[in-house]
Amino acid sequence: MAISKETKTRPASDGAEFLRPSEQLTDDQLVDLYRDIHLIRRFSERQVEEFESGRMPGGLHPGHGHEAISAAVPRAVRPSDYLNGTHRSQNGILALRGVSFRRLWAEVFGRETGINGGRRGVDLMGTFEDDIRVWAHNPVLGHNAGIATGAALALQLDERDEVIVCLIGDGASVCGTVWEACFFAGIRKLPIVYAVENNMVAYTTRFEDMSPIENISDRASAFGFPGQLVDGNDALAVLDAVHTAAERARRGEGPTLLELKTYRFVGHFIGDPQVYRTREEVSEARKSDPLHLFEALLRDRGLLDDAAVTNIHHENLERIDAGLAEAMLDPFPNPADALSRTYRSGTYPMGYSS
Amino acid sequence: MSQEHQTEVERTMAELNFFDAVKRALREEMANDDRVMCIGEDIRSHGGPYGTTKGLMELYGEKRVIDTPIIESAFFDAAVGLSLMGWRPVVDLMAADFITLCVDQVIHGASHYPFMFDVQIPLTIRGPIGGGLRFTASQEKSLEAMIANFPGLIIVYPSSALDAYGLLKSAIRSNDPCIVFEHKLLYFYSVSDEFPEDEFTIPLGEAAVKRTGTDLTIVSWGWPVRESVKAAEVLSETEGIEVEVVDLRTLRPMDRATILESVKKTNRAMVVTEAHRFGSMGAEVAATIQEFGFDDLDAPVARLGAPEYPIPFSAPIQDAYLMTADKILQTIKELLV
Repeated sequence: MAISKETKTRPASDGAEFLRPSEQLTDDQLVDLYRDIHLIRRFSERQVEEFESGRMPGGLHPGHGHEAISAAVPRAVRPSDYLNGTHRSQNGILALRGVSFRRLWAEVFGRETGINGGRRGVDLMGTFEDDIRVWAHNPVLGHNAGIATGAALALQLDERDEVIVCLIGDGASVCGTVWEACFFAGIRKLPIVYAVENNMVAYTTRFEDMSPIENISDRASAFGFPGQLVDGNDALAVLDAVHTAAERARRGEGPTLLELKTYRFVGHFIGDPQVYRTREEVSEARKSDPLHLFEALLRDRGLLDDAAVTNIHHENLERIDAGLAEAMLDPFPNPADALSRTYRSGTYPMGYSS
Repeated sequence: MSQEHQTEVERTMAELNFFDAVKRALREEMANDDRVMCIGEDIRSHGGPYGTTKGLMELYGEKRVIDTPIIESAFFDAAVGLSLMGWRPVVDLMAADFITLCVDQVIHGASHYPFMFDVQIPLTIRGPIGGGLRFTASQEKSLEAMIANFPGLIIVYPSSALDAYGLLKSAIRSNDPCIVFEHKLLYFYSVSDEFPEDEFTIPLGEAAVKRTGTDLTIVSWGWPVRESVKAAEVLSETEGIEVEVVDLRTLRPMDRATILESVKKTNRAMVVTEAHRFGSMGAEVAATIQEFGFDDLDAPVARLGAPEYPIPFSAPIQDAYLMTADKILQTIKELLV
């Protein structure tokens, strides 16, 4: 089965005009995009290091290889648009939408100051705060799509100008809920972009063993909206495709199904023996590492040199680790406060406490 | 069904049957708050399986009454999404049994999100529940215990037209996710109550004593409350036994105080449910009485429930399955006479 190296971005199946905001990016904006791709990679690497040190609680599902998507998606839409990531892209998207590393690390380490007060944990975190609009990932796969579709329905009913971009993993992409949501969104022409991060493996099951067709984007024809295949390792291609789909949705023309082909360089979890693929396959895929591809592009254009790259890497690590240091001083949540969070609408005669 | 052909114009405001009570509650709450909306299958022109949403679209517009394909999983998720965007969806389940198709949304969405993410999910789910119409096990089971286990949810199960009206209005106004079970026999037998003309609500989480007595407390909900009261009347006439019937009305949060107060008076308790006994809400009630009212008990808490097989189709076996006044009567005689 083809991996991302062979994937070429294909026009949308309805032949609509493909917008290319990437061509309007200034040199500074391009360097910023590189900075963000690296920031997300480094943040994830730091989480792996913390996890392997034994300090970090829970489980971790790193998204090494997905960074072009996490960095490009927030740029492809307006700050007021809604985003909904997956467990692999969510952390990076939250950081790029302005959530501080202190709040992110605090959640990772279960602190009261975490983005979800230490109640949700790493790679499931998210927020419905109106100034961030990065909706939480639902770990029961497929349901993100349904919930995001409800948000899109609300945007349509309220005649609002915003859209929602819902990222879905290739594993989740086979869930019935996703396709139920697509039916509904297709019927009502909802302002939503479904973007599948296809990293070619779901937990330990290879993509070709769970999909009878090669491209998820081809499934869109069943729902009456266009599908588009995108090289998910090419940040500029992701930017253009998500932007085009978002603007289409904003014009009231309905959803698009994007398939962002990428590759997960690491195991599903830390310690995954990865028996489902060969070392050679991973080495081959790493040749299309989105971080290295983009760095090479900017070096070619004369926008980056060794000194600039070193500097960016250093600044990013400082930002990440400064947040970590702050978070580690933050308090843990008080168990006595937890009960009061269960219900919202006042006090009932009996029944909470036992 | 005969009540589908009756109109509100033909009846006085003084008496409403269960069907009209639900309909009135929906209409009033949609009029009171323009963020209240209905979503579900066949709810526009058909009005849902029992016609309760019929006419709402004409009154409040297409935006607020939304028909979906047969996609319970997605439209329940969508209702969570709508709630997060400030709508107050009333989700119409064609049969309460279909909550199995969307239990993820109810548990991992509606019940978890407020706790995890500091949001409110002002969602109401309505589902026709229970047996008696020979629809068999995929559309007549009692599955309240299945979701009662999850904190964050409010579970309402009225036994009368008045309660259905007052509690549904409270559920729609609640900022917590509420599941409202409507027993199908309450529709079928057109159970009616006297209604005041003015709007009113019944608070969530408050049980009601439906018959006072001194010899034994029955705790029940839904249709079996009516069977319990019927049995109590017979026992009063024939045996001089006075049974108190406590209708929980809201299963979660559970009104422990009203149950315990009654048991303190009668010193005997029996839980009567249409649901199975094993792992049930009935077990929860019995445990509560024994945990907090042990000193008031003269005997172990008795439990009546469905036999341990799915609700069957054929009349004799379905009737043998269902909770009846006669079963209740016989059991109480065995306990007390």
